[in-house]
Amino acid sequence: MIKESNSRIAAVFIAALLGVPSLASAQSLNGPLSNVVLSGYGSATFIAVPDSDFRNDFTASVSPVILYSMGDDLLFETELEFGLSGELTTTSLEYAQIDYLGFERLQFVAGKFLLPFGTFSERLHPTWINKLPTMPLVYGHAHGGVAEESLLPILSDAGLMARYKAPVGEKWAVDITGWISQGPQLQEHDEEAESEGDPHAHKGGGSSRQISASLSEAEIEIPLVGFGIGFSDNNSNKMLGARIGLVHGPSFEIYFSAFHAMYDPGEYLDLTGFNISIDYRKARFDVRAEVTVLNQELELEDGFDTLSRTGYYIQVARRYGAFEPVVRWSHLLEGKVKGDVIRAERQQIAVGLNYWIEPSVPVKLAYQVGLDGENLILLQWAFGF
Amino acid sequence: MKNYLIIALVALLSGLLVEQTSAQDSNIVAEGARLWANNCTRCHNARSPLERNDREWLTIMNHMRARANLTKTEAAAITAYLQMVNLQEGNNSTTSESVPDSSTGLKKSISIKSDLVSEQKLLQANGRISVDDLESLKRLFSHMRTRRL
Repeated sequence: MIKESNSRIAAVFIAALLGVPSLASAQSLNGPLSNVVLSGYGSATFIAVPDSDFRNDFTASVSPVILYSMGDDLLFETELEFGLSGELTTTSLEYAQIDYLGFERLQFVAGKFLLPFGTFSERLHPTWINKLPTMPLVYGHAHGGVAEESLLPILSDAGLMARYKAPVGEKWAVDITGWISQGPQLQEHDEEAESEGDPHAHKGGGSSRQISASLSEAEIEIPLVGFGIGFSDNNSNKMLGARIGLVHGPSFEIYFSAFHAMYDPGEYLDLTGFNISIDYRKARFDVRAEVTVLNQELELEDGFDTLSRTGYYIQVARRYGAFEPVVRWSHLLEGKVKGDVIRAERQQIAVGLNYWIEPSVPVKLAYQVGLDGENLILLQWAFGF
Repeated sequence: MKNYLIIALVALLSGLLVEQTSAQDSNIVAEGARLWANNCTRCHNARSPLERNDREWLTIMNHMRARANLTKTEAAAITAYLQMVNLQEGNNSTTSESVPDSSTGLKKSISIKSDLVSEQKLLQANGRISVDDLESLKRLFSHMRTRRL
């Protein structure tokens, strides 16, 4: 009953939010300002493991973005993702949102949107923007490269978001975002699908990239948590999150992000995340770094405990004309429960050289060293359109 | 005599107003060029203004405004700059259409016949930017295109 009541309140709120700007922009809804733009990005990737068998694969992905502008202040935007994962073609709805842009500094977003948790997940993961063919260890993604066992997926979820920008002096600005969304959901293994060859299959829908945890190193089973899995919540609790940032022109940005949610149907298991993200650009140098901490509360046979895990990466790139060497170090620290190591430490160094055919078309050659696992040779041709 | 003075005064004020508006528009475009270079590169390489026509840039700038959390004024200035470059390069496929003027939020009917109308006439028709500003922005754009920024 409570859940139904909440859903009705949310529906009324969304209708009110969308109704007001619709009236304000009614004059231009059917006028010449209406516009649809097709945009997006894609990639073709060659992956090889330089072992004795030299195993190798080709993979590809495409993510069309559709923009529909309704007057000056309303925008509908959506991104679909199509990719190859094992024997399957995966599809997912990365975002489908309506933006109200009628205010000078304030924006409202409703629908399914990329969560502003850090900067990589929200802004830097598209293949033509990401400077390496793979994601940092902190993030996992099944499309446009290689799916890694990771701390978090690229986060997108359904709900409401407000953004505000306040200039501070002539060169600085404070960037504030808050959101409320469905939140993460407890997932169950789909053994039948797994036996058919899909190693990422889980009950409850969603694609592989939305699973934040997988196999455990110890005998304690860690519940799988999915983000943006479906439009029916598994509990009445909502995820609350915020990001505050300080931006200095094109050269420096620092953001602090946090979220909290209950992920189980009984609403007693917490999931909290914290992130610090720093971007620095100067003299054709591009430096990006993020630290993420994820705390997942667990119910054990003899009580409760929290699996806390930290991951970070630092990436440095430098342009020399059309060429751009890149190096990235990713590190996932081990996770413990009751003193036992549940998640092993992982480190990864990736070295790459990009050639920019056009500002939105890089060819990326990279060698990735897994300090605790296999190495990879990657060649990716990405394009933004 | 009194009527002549009033007419002269009105003409003078009108002239000043036109000059001021033109200078403001010119400043908006110059500011748009700066914001375009500063904000696009926060995440990715700046895309060529010639990739899209005016209408498409309006929609894309709304998208980027939401993504980069730009203010309405910043987004309008960048759009004005992108539209100015398109206008200068004759990069609008339609020959006569209503093009939104992002600097004021009002629609302006602009007859675009780039193959027939000289660049100077186009600029005069819009009254949005001086030739000097246009040349400096043209050099900036050419420089960025050469350097593949």
